[in-house]
Order: sequence, then structure tokens, then C-alpha cells
Amino acid sequence: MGKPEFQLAGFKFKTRNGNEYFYDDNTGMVFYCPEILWEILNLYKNNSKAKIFKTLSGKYLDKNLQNYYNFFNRWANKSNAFFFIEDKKKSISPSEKEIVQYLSSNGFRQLILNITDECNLRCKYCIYSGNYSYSRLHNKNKMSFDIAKMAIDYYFTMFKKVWKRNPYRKPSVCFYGGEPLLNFSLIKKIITYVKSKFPELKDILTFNISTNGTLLIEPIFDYLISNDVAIAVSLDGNKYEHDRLRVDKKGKGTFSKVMKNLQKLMNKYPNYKMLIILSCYDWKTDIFCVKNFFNENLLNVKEGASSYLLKTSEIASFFTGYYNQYDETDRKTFAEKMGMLEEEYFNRAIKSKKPTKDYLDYLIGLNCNMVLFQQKPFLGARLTSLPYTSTCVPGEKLFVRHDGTYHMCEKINHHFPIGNVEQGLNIESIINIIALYNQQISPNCASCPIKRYCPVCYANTATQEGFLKDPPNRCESNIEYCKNRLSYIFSILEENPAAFVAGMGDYYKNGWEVDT
Amino acid sequence: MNLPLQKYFRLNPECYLVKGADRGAIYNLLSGDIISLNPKNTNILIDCEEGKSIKEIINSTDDQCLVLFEKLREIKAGSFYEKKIYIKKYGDRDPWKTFSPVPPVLSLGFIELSNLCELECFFCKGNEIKPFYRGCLGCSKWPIDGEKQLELSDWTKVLSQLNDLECRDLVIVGGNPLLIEDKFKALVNEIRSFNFKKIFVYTNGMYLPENIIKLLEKYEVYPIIQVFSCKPNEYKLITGRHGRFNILTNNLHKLIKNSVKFSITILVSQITQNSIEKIIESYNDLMPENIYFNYLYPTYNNLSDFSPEYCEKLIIAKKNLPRISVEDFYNKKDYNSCLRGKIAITAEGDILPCIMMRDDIIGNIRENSLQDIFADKKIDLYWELSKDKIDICKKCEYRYACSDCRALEKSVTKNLYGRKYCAYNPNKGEWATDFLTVLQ
Repeated sequence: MGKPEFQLAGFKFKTRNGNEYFYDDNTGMVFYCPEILWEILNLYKNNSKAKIFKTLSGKYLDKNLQNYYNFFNRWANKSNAFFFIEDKKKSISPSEKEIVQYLSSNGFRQLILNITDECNLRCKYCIYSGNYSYSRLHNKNKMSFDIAKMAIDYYFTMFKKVWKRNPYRKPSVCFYGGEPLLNFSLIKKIITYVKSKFPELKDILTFNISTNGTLLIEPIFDYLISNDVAIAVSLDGNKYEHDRLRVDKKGKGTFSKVMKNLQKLMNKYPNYKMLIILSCYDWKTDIFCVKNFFNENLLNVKEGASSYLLKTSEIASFFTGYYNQYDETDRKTFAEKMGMLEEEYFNRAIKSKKPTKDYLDYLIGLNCNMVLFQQKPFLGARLTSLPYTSTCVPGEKLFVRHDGTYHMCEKINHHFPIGNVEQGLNIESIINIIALYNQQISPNCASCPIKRYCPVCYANTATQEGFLKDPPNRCESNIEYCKNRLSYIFSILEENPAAFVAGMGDYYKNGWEVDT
Repeated sequence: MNLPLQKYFRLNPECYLVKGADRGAIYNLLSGDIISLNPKNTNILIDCEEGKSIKEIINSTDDQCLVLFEKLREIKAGSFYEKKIYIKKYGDRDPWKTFSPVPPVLSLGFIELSNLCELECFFCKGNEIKPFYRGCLGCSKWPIDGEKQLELSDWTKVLSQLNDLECRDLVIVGGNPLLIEDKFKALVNEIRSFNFKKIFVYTNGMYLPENIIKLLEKYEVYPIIQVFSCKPNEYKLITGRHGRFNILTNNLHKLIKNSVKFSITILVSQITQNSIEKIIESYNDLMPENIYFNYLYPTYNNLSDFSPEYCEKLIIAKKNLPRISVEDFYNKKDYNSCLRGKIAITAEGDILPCIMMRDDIIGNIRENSLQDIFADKKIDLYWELSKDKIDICKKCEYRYACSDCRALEKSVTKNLYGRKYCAYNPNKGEWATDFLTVLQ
């Protein structure tokens, strides 16, 4: 007798050695999947065990058939692997109670203050450059101290409630722009205000700033460092690459200014742990030069690990004509260069027993580890009525615009406010945003084979009135990307099972060490 | 022996190899089985897991490894492969907890109302701390300074903090907490305004007047009755009081009559060690929700009163090793299997990781909130006290399977990281068979 339709909850991929694996999204497992297992999986949809054996017995040894059927059976039965299980998670509109309860445990992770919209630079890929649909343009709006105070008071009141549920949490205040250092006097006032108003939190309080680095001169970084502010500075690589993308209002490159400031800071505070470099690239980036620049100048590769962290990102490609300036040759050339770096990283990773910390580790290794973690890039528990994609529940972060409106994060455009400093979070707005998102983005997510990897969120789908995937085949591209990534990662792991910290790194690396 | 056609042998994804100082073990995280390995086979499998080929392994040992591989294949623990492959093991841990701390999961909060008790049990007599005698599942009695006892307002604060932490269940302990009737009444009245899922009270069942029973029923407080025997004479011997067995029996029938659900904890001692089954049978007739066991541990001078069979139950012995699920395995790898999820507050307000660990005071509710205890990571020392942190246990291949009672171990070794109640010597890979010696 036939069985109901079964749909595979994952996909097959192949490594360089020619081995095939099945990624199972139900369990997050990756199973070795030779042809025999693949045939069993596909036949199982409509056939009994006897029929499967009859069909395959001429092709495979009975012993092998039995082995792989047993393997399939015990994983399918004991951990629901291989086929989508009936979807009981419905993407629906959450209730007010559900949102309030969720945020009381998981909300208010960060207060991000949009200190000013003004910026002294005109970076080519800036989200406010006019190259991105639906985002605001550069302007001179500044936050007032009164607005900042109201937002801070609200955030800390809510944070203290959350802290009672999760005492491990630390309050975090971030200064964001434009260029926040253009309103440095406000930053100082805020730090003084927070420290004096909430002295009981002084030991767990954290501050962060994202800056373009041009104004990060000695007295300013002295002040920031003396107040333990984590500093994120944008630097896109060597002079040519940085100046190509990060220019001032007159179109002049800013590399020399930023590097001078950074070097001063690093010389004066060589052990400051809270410095992170943000580095973007696009199809015209000579990624080899960027690699050499970072390794030689900032990561101190030759002298051992540096104290600084590096975060690399490709310039966003959704809702923008940014990449129209490049042609297919540019794309291919860049892809070839990336391919060569991946090859370099591959050859090193298959041999390396010791973790390194050079540019490739940040560019490629970090990404491999993230994939192996097999966790969506969201933090904390999920809301039952928001089961798909990696999007947050609005209110997890609080981004405050200059006029006191609240937004869910610094990345989303300004069309989806979730409250303001006078009234606090507007739960109804949050419910409406989630309902709209569920309706427009996730109607087909139940049968997605990469639910655990999905990078889609409000910020990268928000238009003026709703949510849209750009390009429309984004999900298919994401699935393809996952297949390629897993193929690359597993090709490394076949040669060096301990290559990555994530995944089963500790098993293959430390599992045998017994201190006798 | 003929070489197999396949070049590699690997353990299956659900089979996790753990090495000890001498031997090794394979944990099957789907079936729960644990397979013990001799030192030679352990090293062979390490080579396999590290990607060595069968040929390389034969060259460095002998072809007897093929017998091992075939046996493991038969029991579905491993498979042969033509090419070098990567086996992802079942159940990677969540790495995000490092970056964004998830809220603590507090499953059980113990609150100790007093140390009043009407019995004079021989192991609990007087008001002084006796040699440790059992685990936390049942009544106990500790010295308390009456002047330092918490007021109801203090307890309300404690309950509120536990509630904010979303503590799942609450256990009210004594002495016999029902003896201080007014305080108990006021407390359960407070408790119901919070969101605890279940509320338990440990009692010896001696004092259950109608009004208390009505209270238990009204506020859905679930009694766990400590019993010692099913014979009046043994009850007298143990509790030091006449007629106590009859009082207990009457009270249990009153609970049944009033449809109050209850559970039984049997404290087995040297007096009742040979009649455990009879005791179970006897209390089973009363249809309790659950029957739990506690065992009285021998002290230094009365070991001869206990049978070897009884002693085997007190220690980690080969036959006591549990089957292990994937969740248990990773929980035991990272945390203490018993302490994780628990916190206790004594009648004097001391905050303890376990109600039996009286010297491990991590705060006092008059000075610290429970949230402070978590924020300062004072409880993490205990919750994260996995067997990997205990000197002898970290050499043992069964370290992610066996359970742990730090309270017992510490009471006898005087060392938070000590271990006594285990029959296994990981350095030699041998199980002791003389359980009395283990307890000496």
C-alpha cells in the first residue's frame, strides 16, 4: 500500500572527494548519503519496505541494503529525520500577551541611539546614499539630549524588568549615525547621565559606537576608552580600496585620516580588546590586496594573534542599483579571486591543527563556523507565531531616531516605527508588522530545506509599505549558497575533522585528551 | 584474515566515542546504549575517527581490528566506507549561549520554612548536624537560629524573585513545614498569586488535620510523604516514638478520602533493607502518584549493619549506569546533572545550590536577590560542575552517563570536587565488586 506524500526535509550535496551527503533540516544533521541511501529515501515516499527491497535487491547486496535501510529507519523514527513533519507552527498574527511575554524575557538587548543623521562622508555604498530604495537620504537631523534621556529612561526601566527574568543580561547603549562623533557632546552627556542615573548597573553597563574613524582623534578615543566604549571603525582595506569607496563630501578618499587615527589609538592602547574593524567589499575590490593589507598592518599576523576583531561583509545587493555600475566581467573576476582565496584557505585548513587569526579566517573561516553552528543568526528563543526566517521580534533591540521614534533595528528603513519616547513600544504596531511579514514573506517556508540557515529578516525585505524578497528568487539562491558552502566545508572536514571550532570541533580535537 | 573491500571504518553519527584513562566507551545517543571498549580497541577507534585508513591501522596494530569493526557494524555502531568521509556527530551544542546569554532555566526552588519536627529519627535526632545520610528527596532537619528566621515578608520577596526567574516548581521543606501551620497557610496563600507550575511539600505525614488537608486541596499543594517502613515496630525503632505508623496510615487515608494527590518517598535504612519490596507493595495499595526512594548511607562505624546488595544501590556501580539520551549526554557534558536548575533558600535566608549543601552559602536573601546570585555567576560554579571538573571522574569514560550527588560526595570527602561513592577505577578500568570496601 502506498504512503502519503513525503517531501525530503533537506538536500544532497557532493564534496571534492566525490562523497555525497544529505543535509537534514529537521535535525540539523548531515548524513553520508551514497546512492543506495538516496534511492531508499526516494522510494520510501510511495513504497513499503518489502517493495523497496524488491526494487533494489538486484542492484545492491542484501547486507548493504539492510544496513542502509536500518540507518534510515532509526534516524527517521527516533529523531524525525529526512521528511518534513506535519507543520504545526502556523505563521499567524501573535497576541498582545504573547509579544509582551516574549519581550519580558528577550527584549531590550540594546538601545541604539541615532545620535545624528549627519555624516561628514559620502561613502559610495552607504545605505543613505540614495543608491538604496526606501531608505532615508543624508540630512542634518540631530538628536536632542531630552529625547535621548527619555529613550534611556524607558530602555533602562524595561531592561530592569527583563533582568529580573534573565540576570545574565547586560544593558547596552550604542551610538549610531550618520557619524555619531559629529555630535560628540551629546555622547558625553549621555554617558555621564547613564552612569549617574543608574550607578547600580555600572559594573555591567556596556557602550558601543560605530564610527567612520575620521574624527576619532586622540582626546576623543581617550574619552571613549576611559569609559570602556567598544569602538567599531569602518576601514575597507588598503588606501586604494578604501579611498575608492569611502570618500568625503568632496569625493576625496579618507584612508589617510582613518589610518592615522587608528594607528595612534592602537599604539597608545595596544591591548584594548574592544576595537572592531568593519570592512566592506564589492565586485571591484582587489581582495588579495585587502587581505595583505589587513594581515600586514592590522592583524599583526607575523607577531601572533592581534587583539582586534575584524568583520567583513559584502556590500548589500537588495533594493539597490549599486551593482549596476559593474558588468558581468567584474562579477566573474571578483568571483574568481574569491575562489582563489577559498582555495588558499582550503589548503591551509585541511592541514592546520592550530586556529589562526588572519584575514582569511575572518573572511572565510568565520563564515564556515557560522554555517556549522546551524543556528539562525537570531538570538534567543523563537516566538511561536514567528517560526520562520531569522527575523527578530521587534522590541528585541530599540533603535531611536533623532525625533524619538522607535524602530526595531538600525538596519531597517524608517517606514516601520514600533513606538516612540512618549508612549513606549506600540505592541499593536509590532503585531501588525509580524502579521504582514508572515503573510508576505513566509507562506511557503514550512517546506523550506534551509529553515535553520535562512538569513531573511525585516531589514532586508522592508519596502515602503510591506515586505518583499529582492531578488524574487532569493530563497532559491540561498539554498544554492548553502549547498555550495556545505560542500566546501565538508570537503575540508573530510581531510581535517578538527578544522573548525564549530560543529564537532571539540569532539575531533579534544575528545581524546585525558588528563592522567 | 581477508581485508574488507572498504578502506575506512567510522563510528555512526549517533555513536560518540569517549576516552578514559585506560578504557573507552561508545555512547549510542539514539538507542541509549553504552559500549565499553578495552584500551586497544579504544585507540583503534580513535585512529578511525581521526580518519586513518583500515590499512594504516592494521599496519600499526594487527588485523584483529577487523573483528572489532565487524562486531560494531553488526550492532549498528559503525560502518565501512570506500572513501575518507566526515561524520557529523549527533547533537552539536548551541554556541550562541556564549554570545547572548539565555535566561537561566530554574526548574526547582526549595524553600525551608523551619526545622521543627515531632519525630526523633535515630539518624536525625537532636539539633546537631549528623553525618550525611541521604539525598534531597525527603525530609531533613538542620540547626537553625530562631532569631534569624525569615519573616513572611521575606518569603514573599523570595517567591517574587523565583517567580520573576520563571522557576517552574516549588518545594516547601522543613523539618515538617506543616507544623508551623499559620506560616504555612500564609505562605501558600502568597504562592498562589504567582505562576509556579507545581508546589510540593515534604512532610513526614504526622500532622495532617482537616484544615491543612483542605488547604492542600484548595491551593493544589502536592504532599510528598516521607515514610520509613510498613511495620509499626520498625517505625518506632526508626522514629523513636510510639504509634507513629498508625498516625501515618490514618493521615494517608484522610488524603485519599479528600482526593488529595500525594507521592511517597521511602527512606530505606539498615532496618528495612531486606523488606523494600514489601514496603513498596504496601504503599502501592494506597495509589500514590509516585514512589521515590532514598537510602540511608552508612556512617564510619556502622557499615557492618548494611548488606552488600544494599550498598550496591548507594554507589555508582556497573549495573546502575543509566541509558543515556542525547539531551542527557550533552547536559552531563556541560553541567552538573543534579544541581543544574535548582536553588534553595534556608529558613535563615541563606541561598544554597542544594538544600543539603549547608556549607555552600552563595548569598543571603536579606543582602542579595536571587537575580544577583545569577548575575554574579555564583551559582554557575555548581550548575556547571560537570564530571569533567572532578579530578578522578574526568579520567573516566562513563563521565557523561553517571549521575552525581555533590551534596553526598562533599559531605563525605569534605571537598566540592571529591568522589567516593563510585565503584569504578578509571585508571585501571576496573569495577569494584566489594561494595562495602567502596563505602569504607
